[in-house]
Amino acid sequence: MARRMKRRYLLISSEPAHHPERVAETVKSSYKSLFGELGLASSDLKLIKGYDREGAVILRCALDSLPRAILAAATVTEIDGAEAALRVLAISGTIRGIIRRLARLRSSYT
Amino acid sequence: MRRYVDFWVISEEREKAIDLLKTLARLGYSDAVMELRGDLAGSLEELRDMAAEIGIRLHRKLVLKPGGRRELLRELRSSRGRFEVITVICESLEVALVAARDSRVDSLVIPPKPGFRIDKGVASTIRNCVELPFSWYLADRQQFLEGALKIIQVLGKRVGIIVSSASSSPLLLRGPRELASLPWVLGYPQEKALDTVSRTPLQIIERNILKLSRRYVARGVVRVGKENEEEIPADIL
Repeated sequence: MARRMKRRYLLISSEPAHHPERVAETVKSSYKSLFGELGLASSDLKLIKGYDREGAVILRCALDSLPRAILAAATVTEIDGAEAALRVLAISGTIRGIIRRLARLRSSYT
Repeated sequence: MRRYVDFWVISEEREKAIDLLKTLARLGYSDAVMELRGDLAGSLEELRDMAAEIGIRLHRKLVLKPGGRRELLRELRSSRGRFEVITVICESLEVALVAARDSRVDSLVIPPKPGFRIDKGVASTIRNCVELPFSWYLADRQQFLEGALKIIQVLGKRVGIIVSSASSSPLLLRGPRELASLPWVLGYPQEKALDTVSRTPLQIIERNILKLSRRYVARGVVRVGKENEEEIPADIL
């Protein structure tokens, strides 16, 4: 029986806040420039949910590509020509876990 | 729980320094090693108090970029005992070989195109840690990765590797996990990669704080016995 593919969910926020789709596209393009098209294809990198107000996204990736996805996010220095930074706020094995972390982060900021 | 250190942050102005410290605290660091440039060089104690309020332990760093062996030794002699951390940027093999063995030096930075080969010969002489500045990676990714890959493969087994931000702008600072992703991608296992931003730099800081204290007598010898003094972990001696 084929084993289920292990994945990780990353909560990434942009500083200053950008549109979630732009953030996801920027991470993907950074991943592609670092590890190539084959790397991007095998990473299973996908936007799961975006939060407009915070400029945050939940991205999914294959467990094997987790360090590469983090490095790709850390490599981003501009979005749409403006200086920006992407921060990996949390990593979890489930969507529920990452949403719980987001709620905790929101409550700590207020 | 791990404590994280940003081993190289650069600051010239007081306001910017506070911004940097706040960003570091938000990113999850407990310690920061700051290179103070310009007017800020004289206000370490004031900054240290402010950093403590923010929740960061601040340490002072000296970064040397000597042209040769004599210059390096002269600069090391003149700044002895004034800095918690001393880093040498090695642009020649001569400087690298001296800095690699000198106990006053804490870390070496090998630039992307160093002008010398990083091989087993160099690896066998190095005793100090090698630092990978992340802002250099952001400035020129391909060349930096070529050098970093060699450093991890050839030197990574023998010496400690440290990854630092080496930045003066809050937007160029990266969190500990993001910095650790660099050695992780280059072949280190996850825990060892995290050590590059926590255990390895912390050991250097603890050792140097002890060296600068009155309790330090010589390498491996410390004065003990007073009740209110902290215990010294064996691995930093």
